[in-house]
Amino acid sequence: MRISLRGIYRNPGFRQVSIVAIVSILLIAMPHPFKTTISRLASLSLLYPFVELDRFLLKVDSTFEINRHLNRRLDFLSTTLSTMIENKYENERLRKMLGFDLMLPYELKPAEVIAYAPTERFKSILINAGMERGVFKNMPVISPSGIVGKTVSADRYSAVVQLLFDPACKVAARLQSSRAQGIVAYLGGRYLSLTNIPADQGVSIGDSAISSGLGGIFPTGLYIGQVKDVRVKEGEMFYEIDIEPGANFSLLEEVFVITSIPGEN
Amino acid sequence: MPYFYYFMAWFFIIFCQVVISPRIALGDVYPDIVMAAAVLIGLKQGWRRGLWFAFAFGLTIDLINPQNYGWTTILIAFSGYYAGYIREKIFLDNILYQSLAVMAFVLIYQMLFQLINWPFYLFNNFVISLLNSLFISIYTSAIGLLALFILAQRSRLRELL
Repeated sequence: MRISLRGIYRNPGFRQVSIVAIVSILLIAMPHPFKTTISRLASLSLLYPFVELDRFLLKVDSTFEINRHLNRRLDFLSTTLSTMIENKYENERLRKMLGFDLMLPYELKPAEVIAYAPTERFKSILINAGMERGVFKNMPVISPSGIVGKTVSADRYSAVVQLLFDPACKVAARLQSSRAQGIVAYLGGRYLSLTNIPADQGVSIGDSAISSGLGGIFPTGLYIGQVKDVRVKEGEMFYEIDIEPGANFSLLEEVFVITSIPGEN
Repeated sequence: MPYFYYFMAWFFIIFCQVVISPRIALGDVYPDIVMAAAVLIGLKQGWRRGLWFAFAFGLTIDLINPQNYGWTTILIAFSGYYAGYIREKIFLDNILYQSLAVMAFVLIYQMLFQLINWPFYLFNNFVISLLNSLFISIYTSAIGLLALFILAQRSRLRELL
Protein backbone atom coordinates (compact mmCIF):
# COMPACT_ATOMS: atom_id res chain seq x y z
CA MET A 1 0.00 0.00 0.00
CA ARG A 2 1.43 3.34 -1.00
CA ILE A 3 1.22 6.11 1.55
CA SER A 4 0.40 9.41 0.00
CA LEU A 5 2.50 12.21 1.53
CA ARG A 6 0.07 14.77 0.18
CA GLY A 7 -2.73 13.02 2.11
CA ILE A 8 -0.73 13.20 5.33
CA TYR A 9 -0.02 16.90 4.88
CA ARG A 10 -3.67 17.58 4.23
CA ASN A 11 -4.71 15.73 7.37
CA PRO A 12 -5.87 18.46 9.80
CA GLY A 13 -4.64 16.40 12.75
CA PHE A 14 -1.17 16.24 11.33
CA ARG A 15 -1.09 19.96 10.66
CA GLN A 16 -2.22 20.88 14.16
CA VAL A 17 0.16 18.45 15.81
CA SER A 18 2.94 19.82 13.65
CA ILE A 19 2.21 23.40 14.74
CA VAL A 20 2.30 22.33 18.38
CA ALA A 21 5.52 20.38 17.83
CA ILE A 22 7.22 23.26 15.99
CA VAL A 23 6.28 25.76 18.72
CA SER A 24 7.56 23.35 21.36
CA ILE A 25 10.81 22.76 19.51
CA LEU A 26 11.28 26.49 19.11
CA LEU A 27 10.78 26.87 22.83
CA ILE A 28 13.27 24.09 23.52
CA ALA A 29 15.82 25.58 21.16
CA MET A 30 15.48 29.09 22.55
CA PRO A 31 18.65 30.49 24.18
CA HIS A 32 18.62 30.29 27.95
CA PRO A 33 18.76 34.05 28.72
CA PHE A 34 15.82 34.55 26.41
CA LYS A 35 13.90 31.78 28.21
CA THR A 36 14.60 33.42 31.56
CA THR A 37 13.39 36.80 30.29
CA ILE A 38 10.19 35.30 28.90
CA SER A 39 9.66 33.37 32.09
CA ARG A 40 10.08 36.51 34.18
CA LEU A 41 7.69 38.47 31.97
CA ALA A 42 5.18 35.65 32.01
CA SER A 43 5.36 35.36 35.78
CA LEU A 44 4.77 39.11 36.10
CA SER A 45 1.86 39.22 33.68
CA LEU A 46 0.14 35.97 32.75
CA LEU A 47 0.73 34.14 36.00
CA TYR A 48 0.46 37.18 38.23
CA PRO A 49 -3.10 36.41 39.46
CA PHE A 50 -2.15 32.83 40.33
CA VAL A 51 1.04 33.87 42.08
CA GLU A 52 -0.80 36.55 44.04
CA LEU A 53 -3.59 34.16 44.91
CA ASP A 54 -1.04 31.61 46.04
CA ARG A 55 0.72 34.25 48.14
CA PHE A 56 -2.59 35.34 49.63
CA LEU A 57 -3.49 31.76 50.54
CA LEU A 58 -0.06 31.28 52.06
CA LYS A 59 -0.70 34.36 54.18
CA VAL A 60 -4.08 32.96 55.22
CA ASP A 61 -2.40 29.64 56.04
CA SER A 62 0.24 31.36 58.14
CA THR A 63 -2.45 33.47 59.85
CA PHE A 64 -4.30 30.28 60.74
CA GLU A 65 -1.08 28.76 62.03
CA ILE A 66 -0.32 31.84 64.14
CA ASN A 67 -3.89 31.87 65.37
CA ARG A 68 -3.65 28.20 66.35
CA HIS A 69 -0.37 28.84 68.13
CA LEU A 70 -1.81 31.83 69.98
CA ASN A 71 -4.90 29.86 70.94
CA ARG A 72 -2.69 27.11 72.35
CA ARG A 73 -0.70 29.72 74.25
CA LEU A 74 -3.91 31.32 75.49
CA ASP A 75 -5.17 27.94 76.72
CA PHE A 76 -1.89 27.35 78.53
CA LEU A 77 -1.91 30.82 80.10
CA SER A 78 -5.57 30.53 81.11
CA THR A 79 -4.86 27.23 82.82
CA THR A 80 -1.80 28.69 84.53
CA LEU A 81 -3.73 31.75 85.64
CA SER A 82 -6.57 29.65 86.96
CA THR A 83 -4.08 27.46 88.88
CA MET A 84 -2.40 30.57 90.27
CA ILE A 85 -5.71 32.07 91.38
CA GLU A 86 -6.58 28.75 93.01
CA ASN A 87 -3.19 28.70 94.74
CA LYS A 88 -3.74 32.26 95.96
CA TYR A 89 -7.07 31.36 97.56
CA GLU A 90 -5.62 28.19 99.03
CA ASN A 91 -2.73 30.21 100.41
CA GLU A 92 -5.13 32.69 102.01
CA ARG A 93 -7.19 29.87 103.50
CA LEU A 94 -4.16 28.07 104.83
CA ARG A 95 -2.76 31.25 106.38
CA LYS A 96 -6.11 31.80 108.06
CA MET A 97 -6.20 28.21 109.25
CA LEU A 98 -2.64 28.39 110.50
CA GLY A 99 -3.55 31.38 112.65
CA PHE A 100 -6.62 29.52 113.90
CA ASP A 101 -4.55 26.45 114.65
CA LEU A 102 -2.15 28.46 116.81
CA MET A 103 -5.06 30.15 118.61
CA LEU A 104 -6.84 27.02 119.84
CA PRO A 105 -5.61 24.97 122.79
CA TYR A 106 -6.55 21.64 121.13
CA GLU A 107 -4.52 19.23 119.12
CA LEU A 108 -5.81 19.67 115.61
CA LYS A 109 -5.30 17.51 112.55
CA PRO A 110 -5.86 19.36 109.31
CA ALA A 111 -7.69 17.45 106.62
CA GLU A 112 -8.97 18.10 103.15
CA VAL A 113 -12.51 17.43 102.09
CA ILE A 114 -12.21 14.80 99.39
CA ALA A 115 -15.87 14.02 98.78
CA TYR A 116 -19.38 15.03 99.56
CA ALA A 117 -22.13 12.50 100.04
CA PRO A 118 -23.48 12.36 96.51
CA THR A 119 -27.11 12.11 97.45
CA GLU A 120 -27.33 14.27 100.54
CA ARG A 121 -24.85 17.04 99.89
CA PHE A 122 -24.83 18.75 103.27
CA LYS A 123 -25.26 15.69 105.46
CA SER A 124 -21.81 14.16 105.40
CA ILE A 125 -18.36 14.58 103.89
CA LEU A 126 -15.29 12.43 103.46
CA ILE A 127 -11.95 13.79 104.66
CA ASN A 128 -8.47 12.57 103.87
CA ALA A 129 -7.39 11.94 107.48
CA GLY A 130 -7.95 8.58 109.10
CA MET A 131 -6.73 6.35 111.86
CA GLU A 132 -3.15 6.60 110.63
CA ARG A 133 -3.20 10.27 111.56
CA GLY A 134 -5.03 9.73 114.85
CA VAL A 135 -8.54 10.41 113.62
CA PHE A 136 -11.16 8.07 115.08
CA LYS A 137 -14.91 7.90 115.47
CA ASN A 138 -16.75 10.66 117.38
CA MET A 139 -14.16 13.38 117.08
CA PRO A 140 -15.23 17.00 116.58
CA VAL A 141 -14.56 18.53 113.21
CA ILE A 142 -14.28 22.28 112.96
CA SER A 143 -13.40 24.98 110.49
CA PRO A 144 -12.10 28.49 111.20
CA SER A 145 -15.69 29.72 111.00
CA GLY A 146 -17.28 27.20 113.36
CA ILE A 147 -18.22 23.62 114.12
CA VAL A 148 -18.64 21.45 111.05
CA GLY A 149 -19.72 18.18 112.60
CA LYS A 150 -18.20 15.02 114.02
CA THR A 151 -16.56 11.90 112.65
CA VAL A 152 -18.89 8.93 112.49
CA SER A 153 -16.50 6.40 111.07
CA ALA A 154 -12.83 6.24 110.24
CA ASP A 155 -10.64 3.92 108.28
CA ARG A 156 -6.89 4.03 107.82
CA TYR A 157 -6.67 6.99 105.50
CA SER A 158 -10.05 8.70 105.61
CA ALA A 159 -12.99 9.46 107.81
CA VAL A 160 -16.66 10.24 107.32
CA VAL A 161 -17.82 13.44 108.96
CA GLN A 162 -21.44 13.87 109.94
CA LEU A 163 -22.31 17.51 109.35
CA LEU A 164 -24.48 19.65 111.58
CA PHE A 165 -27.20 19.53 108.95
CA ASP A 166 -27.60 15.81 109.52
CA PRO A 167 -30.65 15.46 111.79
CA ALA A 168 -28.78 12.78 113.75
CA CYS A 169 -26.02 15.22 114.70
CA LYS A 170 -26.73 17.06 117.92
CA VAL A 171 -24.53 19.48 119.80
CA ALA A 172 -24.96 20.57 123.39
CA ALA A 173 -24.92 24.35 123.09
CA ARG A 174 -25.04 27.53 125.08
CA LEU A 175 -25.94 31.06 124.16
CA GLN A 176 -22.93 33.20 124.82
CA SER A 177 -24.67 36.24 126.31
CA SER A 178 -27.49 34.67 128.37
CA ARG A 179 -25.61 31.39 129.12
CA ALA A 180 -28.86 29.54 128.49
CA GLN A 181 -28.21 25.93 127.49
CA GLY A 182 -29.92 23.82 124.89
CA ILE A 183 -29.31 21.46 122.02
CA VAL A 184 -28.47 22.47 118.48
CA ALA A 185 -29.89 20.11 115.87
CA TYR A 186 -31.28 20.26 112.39
CA LEU A 187 -35.05 20.00 112.29
CA GLY A 188 -35.59 21.12 108.73
CA GLY A 189 -35.64 24.42 106.91
CA ARG A 190 -32.74 26.70 106.10
CA TYR A 191 -31.23 26.96 109.58
CA LEU A 192 -30.23 24.82 112.53
CA SER A 193 -32.50 24.90 115.58
CA LEU A 194 -31.57 25.53 119.17
CA THR A 195 -34.05 23.71 121.35
CA ASN A 196 -34.75 23.39 125.04
CA ILE A 197 -34.10 27.05 125.88
CA PRO A 198 -36.76 28.08 128.41
CA ALA A 199 -38.96 30.94 127.30
CA ASP A 200 -38.14 32.93 130.39
CA GLN A 201 -34.49 33.29 129.37
CA GLY A 202 -33.36 36.39 127.55
CA VAL A 203 -32.50 35.60 123.95
CA SER A 204 -31.80 38.17 121.28
CA ILE A 205 -31.12 37.95 117.59
CA GLY A 206 -27.44 38.00 116.82
CA ASP A 207 -26.40 36.09 119.96
CA SER A 208 -23.65 33.58 119.43
CA ALA A 209 -24.26 29.90 120.07
CA ILE A 210 -21.23 27.97 121.29
CA SER A 211 -20.72 24.39 122.36
CA SER A 212 -21.34 23.85 126.05
CA GLY A 213 -19.10 20.80 126.37
CA LEU A 214 -21.84 18.75 127.99
CA GLY A 215 -22.40 16.32 125.19
CA GLY A 216 -19.03 14.66 125.63
CA ILE A 217 -17.85 15.09 122.07
CA PHE A 218 -17.48 18.80 121.42
CA PRO A 219 -15.31 20.73 123.88
CA THR A 220 -16.55 23.93 125.49
CA GLY A 221 -16.52 27.21 123.67
CA LEU A 222 -16.51 26.19 120.00
CA TYR A 223 -18.50 28.58 117.88
CA ILE A 224 -21.59 27.05 116.25
CA GLY A 225 -23.44 29.99 114.80
CA GLN A 226 -25.56 33.04 115.34
CA VAL A 227 -29.17 33.43 116.42
CA LYS A 228 -31.13 34.36 113.34
CA ASP A 229 -34.69 34.25 114.62
CA VAL A 230 -36.43 33.72 117.96
CA ARG A 231 -40.04 32.62 118.31
CA VAL A 232 -42.18 31.45 121.14
CA LYS A 233 -45.66 30.04 120.72
CA GLU A 234 -48.49 30.90 123.03
CA GLY A 235 -48.46 28.52 125.97
CA GLU A 236 -45.13 26.90 125.07
CA MET A 237 -42.34 26.60 127.60
CA PHE A 238 -39.42 26.76 125.16
CA TYR A 239 -38.22 29.06 122.48
CA GLU A 240 -37.93 28.10 118.85
CA ILE A 241 -34.56 29.56 117.90
CA ASP A 242 -33.03 29.49 114.42
CA ILE A 243 -29.26 29.35 114.32
CA GLU A 244 -27.32 30.27 111.24
CA PRO A 245 -24.20 28.10 111.27
CA GLY A 246 -20.86 29.84 111.10
CA ALA A 247 -19.34 27.26 108.80
CA ASN A 248 -20.29 27.52 105.16
CA PHE A 249 -20.94 23.89 104.30
CA SER A 250 -21.09 24.43 100.59
CA LEU A 251 -17.57 25.88 100.50
CA LEU A 252 -15.77 23.48 102.80
CA GLU A 253 -12.36 22.54 101.48
CA GLU A 254 -10.17 22.12 104.54
CA VAL A 255 -11.24 21.24 108.05
CA PHE A 256 -9.61 20.39 111.39
CA VAL A 257 -10.27 17.33 113.47
CA ILE A 258 -9.81 17.85 117.18
CA THR A 259 -7.90 14.71 118.11
CA SER A 260 -7.21 15.52 121.74
CA ILE A 261 -8.36 18.05 124.28
CA PRO A 262 -5.93 18.99 127.03
CA GLY A 263 -7.03 17.63 130.41
CA GLU A 264 -9.20 14.91 128.86
CA ASN A 265 -8.41 11.32 128.08
CA MET B 1 -18.71 32.71 23.94
CA PRO B 2 -17.07 29.25 23.92
CA TYR B 3 -13.70 31.03 24.12
CA PHE B 4 -14.75 32.50 27.43
CA TYR B 5 -15.49 28.98 28.71
CA TYR B 6 -12.15 27.78 27.37
CA PHE B 7 -10.44 30.62 29.16
CA MET B 8 -12.30 29.80 32.38
CA ALA B 9 -11.35 26.12 32.06
CA TRP B 10 -7.71 27.09 31.50
CA PHE B 11 -7.81 29.49 34.45
CA PHE B 12 -9.40 26.89 36.72
CA ILE B 13 -6.94 24.13 35.82
CA ILE B 14 -3.90 26.38 36.20
CA PHE B 15 -5.31 27.64 39.48
CA CYS B 16 -5.69 24.05 40.68
CA GLN B 17 -2.14 23.17 39.60
CA VAL B 18 -0.44 26.28 41.01
CA VAL B 19 -2.51 26.90 44.12
CA ILE B 20 -4.40 23.75 45.10
CA SER B 21 -1.94 21.02 44.11
CA PRO B 22 0.81 21.99 46.64
CA ARG B 23 -1.81 22.09 49.35
CA ILE B 24 -3.14 18.61 48.71
CA ALA B 25 0.29 17.06 48.18
CA LEU B 26 1.02 13.87 50.09
CA GLY B 27 4.57 14.59 51.16
CA ASP B 28 6.55 14.92 47.93
CA VAL B 29 3.77 13.45 45.80
CA TYR B 30 2.02 16.29 44.00
CA PRO B 31 -1.00 15.46 41.85
CA ASP B 32 -0.37 16.40 38.21
CA ILE B 33 -3.70 18.13 37.70
CA VAL B 34 -2.72 19.73 34.39
CA MET B 35 -1.85 16.35 32.90
CA ALA B 36 -5.03 14.77 34.24
CA ALA B 37 -7.08 17.64 32.78
CA ALA B 38 -5.34 17.37 29.40
CA VAL B 39 -5.99 13.62 29.21
CA LEU B 40 -9.57 13.89 30.41
CA ILE B 41 -10.36 16.68 27.94
CA GLY B 42 -8.87 14.54 25.18
CA LEU B 43 -10.90 11.52 26.28
CA LYS B 44 -14.13 13.46 26.60
CA GLN B 45 -13.88 16.10 23.86
CA GLY B 46 -11.71 14.49 21.20
CA TRP B 47 -8.16 15.02 19.94
CA ARG B 48 -8.61 18.59 18.67
CA ARG B 49 -9.64 20.13 21.99
CA GLY B 50 -7.38 17.72 23.84
CA LEU B 51 -4.39 18.88 21.81
CA TRP B 52 -5.01 22.62 22.12
CA PHE B 53 -6.04 22.60 25.75
CA ALA B 54 -3.03 20.48 26.58
CA PHE B 55 -0.83 22.81 24.56
CA ALA B 56 -2.15 25.81 26.49
CA PHE B 57 -1.67 24.06 29.81
CA GLY B 58 1.82 22.87 28.91
CA LEU B 59 2.87 26.28 27.64
CA THR B 60 1.63 27.93 30.82
CA ILE B 61 3.51 25.46 32.99
CA ASP B 62 6.62 25.93 30.85
CA LEU B 63 6.43 29.68 31.29
CA ILE B 64 6.76 29.26 35.03
CA ASN B 65 9.93 27.20 34.82
CA PRO B 66 12.56 28.18 32.21
CA GLN B 67 14.56 24.97 32.82
CA ASN B 68 12.18 22.68 30.94
CA TYR B 69 11.05 25.11 28.28
CA GLY B 70 9.18 23.35 25.53
CA TRP B 71 9.41 19.81 26.91
CA THR B 72 6.38 20.07 29.16
CA THR B 73 4.44 21.67 26.30
CA ILE B 74 5.24 18.96 23.82
CA LEU B 75 4.72 16.06 26.24
CA ILE B 76 1.40 17.34 27.61
CA ALA B 77 0.16 18.40 24.17
CA PHE B 78 0.89 14.95 22.72
CA SER B 79 -0.77 13.32 25.73
CA GLY B 80 -3.92 15.37 25.09
CA TYR B 81 -3.78 14.48 21.41
CA TYR B 82 -3.28 10.75 22.01
CA ALA B 83 -6.04 10.70 24.63
CA GLY B 84 -8.37 12.11 21.95
CA TYR B 85 -7.03 9.60 19.45
CA ILE B 86 -7.75 6.75 21.88
CA ARG B 87 -11.27 8.09 22.32
CA GLU B 88 -11.81 7.79 18.58
CA LYS B 89 -10.54 4.20 18.53
CA ILE B 90 -11.89 2.90 21.84
CA PHE B 91 -14.77 4.78 23.39
CA LEU B 92 -14.10 4.79 27.15
CA ASP B 93 -17.40 5.86 28.64
CA ASN B 94 -16.57 4.65 32.12
CA ILE B 95 -15.00 6.85 34.77
CA LEU B 96 -12.91 3.98 36.10
CA TYR B 97 -11.33 3.29 32.68
CA GLN B 98 -10.86 7.01 32.16
CA SER B 99 -9.03 7.36 35.46
CA LEU B 100 -6.89 4.33 34.56
CA ALA B 101 -6.05 6.06 31.28
CA VAL B 102 -5.05 9.15 33.30
CA MET B 103 -2.83 6.96 35.45
CA ALA B 104 -1.10 5.43 32.42
CA PHE B 105 -0.56 8.79 30.72
CA VAL B 106 0.79 10.41 33.91
CA LEU B 107 3.15 7.49 34.50
CA ILE B 108 4.52 7.64 30.96
CA TYR B 109 4.76 11.42 31.11
CA GLN B 110 6.62 11.39 34.43
CA MET B 111 9.12 8.78 33.21
CA LEU B 112 9.69 10.61 29.90
CA PHE B 113 10.05 13.91 31.68
CA GLN B 114 12.71 12.47 33.97
CA LEU B 115 14.42 10.79 31.04
CA ILE B 116 14.67 14.12 29.20
CA ASN B 117 15.68 16.27 32.15
CA TRP B 118 17.67 13.97 34.44
CA PRO B 119 18.65 10.87 32.41
CA PHE B 120 21.59 9.89 34.64
CA TYR B 121 19.57 10.23 37.80
CA LEU B 122 16.80 8.14 36.22
CA PHE B 123 19.14 5.30 35.20
CA ASN B 124 20.96 5.29 38.53
CA ASN B 125 17.75 5.34 40.58
CA PHE B 126 15.33 3.70 38.22
CA VAL B 127 13.25 1.83 40.80
CA ILE B 128 12.90 4.87 43.05
CA SER B 129 11.98 7.08 40.10
CA LEU B 130 9.50 4.51 38.84
CA LEU B 131 7.89 4.18 42.25
CA ASN B 132 7.74 7.95 42.65
CA SER B 133 6.14 8.31 39.23
CA LEU B 134 3.74 5.51 40.07
CA PHE B 135 2.66 7.22 43.26
CA ILE B 136 2.14 10.50 41.40
CA SER B 137 0.13 8.74 38.69
CA ILE B 138 -2.03 6.86 41.21
CA TYR B 139 -2.69 10.01 43.21
CA THR B 140 -3.45 12.01 40.05
CA SER B 141 -5.80 9.33 38.75
CA ALA B 142 -7.56 9.31 42.12
CA ILE B 143 -8.06 13.07 41.85
CA GLY B 144 -9.23 12.59 38.27
CA LEU B 145 -11.65 9.89 39.38
CA LEU B 146 -13.06 12.21 42.01
CA ALA B 147 -13.47 15.00 39.46
CA LEU B 148 -15.16 12.62 37.02
CA PHE B 149 -17.45 11.35 39.72
CA ILE B 150 -18.47 14.91 40.67
CA LEU B 151 -19.09 15.72 36.99
CA ALA B 152 -21.17 12.56 36.59
CA GLN B 153 -23.23 13.48 39.63
CA ARG B 154 -23.72 16.98 38.27
CA SER B 155 -24.92 15.59 34.94
CA ARG B 156 -27.24 13.20 36.76
CA LEU B 157 -28.64 16.08 38.81
CA ARG B 158 -29.19 18.08 35.67
CA GLU B 159 -31.07 15.14 34.13
CA LEU B 160 -33.21 14.85 37.25
CA LEU B 161 -34.05 18.55 37.20
